[in-house]
Amino acid sequence: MELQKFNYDNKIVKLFIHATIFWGIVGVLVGLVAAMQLAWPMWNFDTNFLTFGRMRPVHTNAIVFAFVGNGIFAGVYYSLQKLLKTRMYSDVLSQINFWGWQLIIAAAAVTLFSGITSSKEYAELEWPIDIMIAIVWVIYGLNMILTMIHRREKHIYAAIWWYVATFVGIAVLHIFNNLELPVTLTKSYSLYAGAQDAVVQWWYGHNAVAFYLTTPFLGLMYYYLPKAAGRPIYSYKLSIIHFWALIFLYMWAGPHHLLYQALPDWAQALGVTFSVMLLAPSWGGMINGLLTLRGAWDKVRDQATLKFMVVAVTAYGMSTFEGPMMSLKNVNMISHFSDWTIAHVHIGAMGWNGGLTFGMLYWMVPKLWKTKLFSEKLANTHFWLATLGMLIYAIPLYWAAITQWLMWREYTPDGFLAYPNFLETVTQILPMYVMRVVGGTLFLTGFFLMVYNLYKTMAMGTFVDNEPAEAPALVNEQTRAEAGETSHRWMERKPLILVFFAFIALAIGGAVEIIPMVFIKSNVPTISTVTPYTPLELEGRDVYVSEGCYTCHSQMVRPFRWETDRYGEYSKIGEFVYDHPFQWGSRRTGPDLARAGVVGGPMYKNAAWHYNHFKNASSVSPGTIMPNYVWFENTMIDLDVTPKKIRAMQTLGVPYPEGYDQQAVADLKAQGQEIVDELKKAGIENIDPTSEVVAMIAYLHKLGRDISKKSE
Amino acid sequence: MKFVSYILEDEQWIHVLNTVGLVIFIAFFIGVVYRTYKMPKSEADEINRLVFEDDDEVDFSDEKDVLKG
Repeated sequence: MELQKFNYDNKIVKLFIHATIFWGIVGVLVGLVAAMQLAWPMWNFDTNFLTFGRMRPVHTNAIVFAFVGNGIFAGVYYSLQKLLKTRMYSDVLSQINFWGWQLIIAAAAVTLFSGITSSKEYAELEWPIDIMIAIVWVIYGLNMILTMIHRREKHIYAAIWWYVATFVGIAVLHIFNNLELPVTLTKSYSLYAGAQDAVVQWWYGHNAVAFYLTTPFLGLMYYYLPKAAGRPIYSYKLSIIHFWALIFLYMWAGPHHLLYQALPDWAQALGVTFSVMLLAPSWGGMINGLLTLRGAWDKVRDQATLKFMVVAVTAYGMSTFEGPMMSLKNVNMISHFSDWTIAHVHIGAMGWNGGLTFGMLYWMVPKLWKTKLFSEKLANTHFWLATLGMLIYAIPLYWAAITQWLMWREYTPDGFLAYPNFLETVTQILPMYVMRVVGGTLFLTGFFLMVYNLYKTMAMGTFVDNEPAEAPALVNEQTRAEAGETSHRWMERKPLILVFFAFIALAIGGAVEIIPMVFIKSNVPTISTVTPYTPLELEGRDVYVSEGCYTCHSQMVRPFRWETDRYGEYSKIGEFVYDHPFQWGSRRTGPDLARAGVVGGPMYKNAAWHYNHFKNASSVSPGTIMPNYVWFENTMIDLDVTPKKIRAMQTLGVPYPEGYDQQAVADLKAQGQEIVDELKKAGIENIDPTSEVVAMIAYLHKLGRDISKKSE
Repeated sequence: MKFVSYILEDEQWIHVLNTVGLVIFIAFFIGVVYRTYKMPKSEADEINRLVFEDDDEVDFSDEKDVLKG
């Protein structure tokens, strides 16, 4: 058979390795600062660019899309070429993928620090960047599929199925979740409202974990774990079963993020059912990974690469056990809105994603630079620092979650809340937040050791941009299955059919979850007293979104006695019909605000209190960890954009009267003046009625006000 | 399209959605398991080795136990 000569494109892998290391340091460093802000609020520096509400999305995006994303691309570009025995189809597409992705990350960092956000968790980026992501992602997928088509290896190995599922899954999720109506270049509103927006967002949020943090890493595990261990994967058959079962089941499970919230019961039940079922295929993957090491555990003792991979697979197993447990309603009741979720996510991110990326880098860098690792000892030190860092990070947070939940629901013998002041439940867990900083510092220290070790390794070796290779040409493929060939094996040599079936498996769950929520009107019953936001309230809401208030405050009172006693009446689905996007939140570092506007309710504070709270939070709440928003008073609303926002809302179905955009600014100023007058009575002078602080007060006083009115 | 929209707007069927989902998954799962276990062991072994076809040393010492697939 004719041997063909070709070159592997190692240069693109090198670029992605450098980007992984650089953005990894940035992402962890920003995370560490965010952790310090929660332990010591002075780290917010009273500066709008650096408050926790902006820092947190920068951290999550930097870790997920920059560190993990570049790591995925590095691992995929290396392994795909080797497994298919061919160079990437197009160097130009590879380069566009690399530079386009770095541009997206840079744009994300700048916009998020500037408060330009859509507020949808893990999808905060505004519409121009969303379009860039879609384009670059399609270019990546196109290059991958064309490489598969032009391969020299007949069969497509298990790792690549996961890469395909990742590409298809993220494309579908990203597009549907980011359907939004642009108002300006930096502002848009979600096409969905309230509960529908929540379902779509958590369908995305859950499956971003699935198809960005899980499936590509299972693919990388199927390649790099056997390579590092020098042993084939334990069971190829198990890999087929757990691949199809996992990608089929994941898409159904999103609503488990919204249990006991204003969502139809059928959607919650669907999320729970499929989340519990997910345990089986997830553990199929973990077992396949761990059993690959049987007979090779002596290598684990000596090699940091394998140690990281073992911790990665173990963390994957633990997270995928914990996830289904957290989706049970009685566990979710405790874990949701608490630090449990944060701990859970970090076991996955630091252990599974971090561990596998570190293991992969320690294996790949010496291989690509054709040398030995500079120091195995340093790598082992990194391993122990990272593992201990992860545990010291997560365990105090589990502790904090249970502590805070017990305090939230504690009653006195007389039947009153034992800790009616939410702040008491926060100050109680601050020592755990300090421990989290210690854990993060250890993790970052280990990361720096890896950087030193890898760059010393690179300096010792020689890198070849175009690595020569040869392989027999692929003989013409038959369209139909060969005699005795199973259907799956036939599919493994048909890339487009594999892509198609992966899409079908993914689409069924997504369609079942989303379509009924959007079409069935009875899912979102309307409430006659609920009215659209006034222009000033809408502007205030946009400030709330921009500052990332949702990162600490929920707007969702669950139907538990200890929540209704603390906050007020439980939330109803019809309250949110004008919320583009929804602001239910996922963590309560501060109290729920859904009833902040109910006069006479437990959460109501007057305008002067809010003014003082924004200016200097600890002056009215001693011991609080909320940042000061001193710039609110001196930052004015852009009144030129207000009419555009009203028109955008009208386009989305919000029933403002025809031509109301022309009246909006006058109404805004009139309502602002009312608040200014109220502040004046409390001795607070010289406040502009179009300032952000006034808009925020108007918005907070709207929350829950409508449903506290009696219907006519 | 009107018919589709009518079906989708009728909430009566929503209560069986979980059951329908489970049935779809179980049918799909049984199909995948059946087809996979019909795959000859030699075929699975061969594919399993693809990952080592470039330049690596590989340990097949206890392959009978190892390559269950």
